[in-house]
Amino acid sequence: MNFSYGQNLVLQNVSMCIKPGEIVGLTGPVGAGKSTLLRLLVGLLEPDKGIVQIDGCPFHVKKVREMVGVLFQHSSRQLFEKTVYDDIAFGPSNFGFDRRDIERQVNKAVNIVGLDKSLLEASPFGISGGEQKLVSLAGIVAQSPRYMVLDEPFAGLDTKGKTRLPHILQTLQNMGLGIIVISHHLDKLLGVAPRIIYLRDGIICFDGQRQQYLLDDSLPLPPITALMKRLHARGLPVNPATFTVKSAIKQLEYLETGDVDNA
Amino acid sequence: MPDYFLSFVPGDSFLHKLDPRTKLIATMLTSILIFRLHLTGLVLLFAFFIVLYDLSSVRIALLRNLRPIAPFLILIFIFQLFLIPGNIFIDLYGFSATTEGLFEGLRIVGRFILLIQFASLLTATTSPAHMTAGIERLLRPLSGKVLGATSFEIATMMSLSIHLVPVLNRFLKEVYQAQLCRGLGRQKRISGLVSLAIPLLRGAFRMMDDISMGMESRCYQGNYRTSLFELKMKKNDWIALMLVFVLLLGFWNLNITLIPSYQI
Repeated sequence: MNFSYGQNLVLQNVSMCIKPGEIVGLTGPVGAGKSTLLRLLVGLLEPDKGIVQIDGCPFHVKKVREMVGVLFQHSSRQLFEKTVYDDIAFGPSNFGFDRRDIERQVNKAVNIVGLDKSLLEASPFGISGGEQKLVSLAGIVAQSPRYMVLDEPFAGLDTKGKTRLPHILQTLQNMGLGIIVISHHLDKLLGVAPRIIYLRDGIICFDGQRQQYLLDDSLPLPPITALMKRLHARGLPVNPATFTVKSAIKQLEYLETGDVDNA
Repeated sequence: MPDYFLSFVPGDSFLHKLDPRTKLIATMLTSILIFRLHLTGLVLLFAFFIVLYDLSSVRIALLRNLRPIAPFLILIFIFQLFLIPGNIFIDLYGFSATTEGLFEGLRIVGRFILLIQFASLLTATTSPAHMTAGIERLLRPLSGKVLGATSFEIATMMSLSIHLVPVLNRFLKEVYQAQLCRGLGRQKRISGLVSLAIPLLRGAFRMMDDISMGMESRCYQGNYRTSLFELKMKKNDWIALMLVFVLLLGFWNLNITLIPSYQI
């Protein structure tokens, strides 16, 4: 797939495939074309060359919007209704669900996302930024899409939301959704996505399993991995592909105490 | 990006080099003239615009500039065409279009189009910083009691508003895309418009709030500040002003009577 804004070639020979029930992390430096790729995937832009296919069907904008839910980077900007409930219901009601279905969808989405039920009657503008993000996410989930693309879902979330999000993604994955997470937060991304795609200057530099990504020295790594790699290189028996602080602490504690059970 | 409505296109042309005050006054005089003229005059003025446009060497999308107000223009034209009494030349199901209506409609729409094009030429050839400096200098004699604010404050307000048009445009586009993905446009409902308007207004207010807070935290006082651009009227400025003034006087009474009983 190729895409350019005028003379400016943004994406070059980008080719990828996402399966249902898979979480893919998409990352890369600013201006690499991540957001452009997102817009291509949901038909907000058309590729110059190549095609976007969903479940083998030829691309059809209306159908795609029904099947792919998108959480944009500044998703709290999309809120507008009087109450949180109405806002979550905006998507499903547009896609032609009837009243009872809408209620069921909204409740389901609220449960998945883990929103406090008391918020439903509140105004979406009176709640915190992190809650707004979750409300917009619930709005997407309520559309019951088959695939989801989340642009920087970690940004603006409080600590509680940040620990909550991986669980939400897990639930959605178990429901059979294919999910693309776009993020700069490498450590968080690695935590949720077993498969990583690294995009640089409109070219896919890496597409593969998390473990391979961590072992590739030409790609940016989270600080903790860089540290563990150094330690490994110095001859310490630690896993160079560690990406969580928790696991790093465990390994280091093991080094100190020699307590095998803890490792 | 040059393709936004009323945005600045950097360049090095004759128009770019003119003093912003010259351009502001010239645009004002031209606007007065536009409201004074009838069809023939407007056509001549349009020719004048084309010459300026060529001189400016900016390639703004002229038709695109009109897109935001196109529906209103069409509506105005239709109203004029059918509602003004006179010589009927087409009769459509009881609605009759009149020659007078046609000319009146063309005249009003032509005025709007010309106003917008001249304004876009002004903003395309004058950077917002220069514009602020120009407006501020022009308003300085009125500073204080007459305006209810200092000329510096007013200049800042104006330049900020001009600045923010493309920003809000981009913001709106972003919101529109987000709502499209939530199924906007699937069903014709009033909430479609609301779903764009509320985020836009909210975003605009929030943006203003951020900007004013940012300015205050950097000690913005609204009084005299030294400028990066020292304005100086050059020979070309006086020539340009004279030219526009001559144009104003020459065109003032240019209303040729081609059709008896109607001036065009």
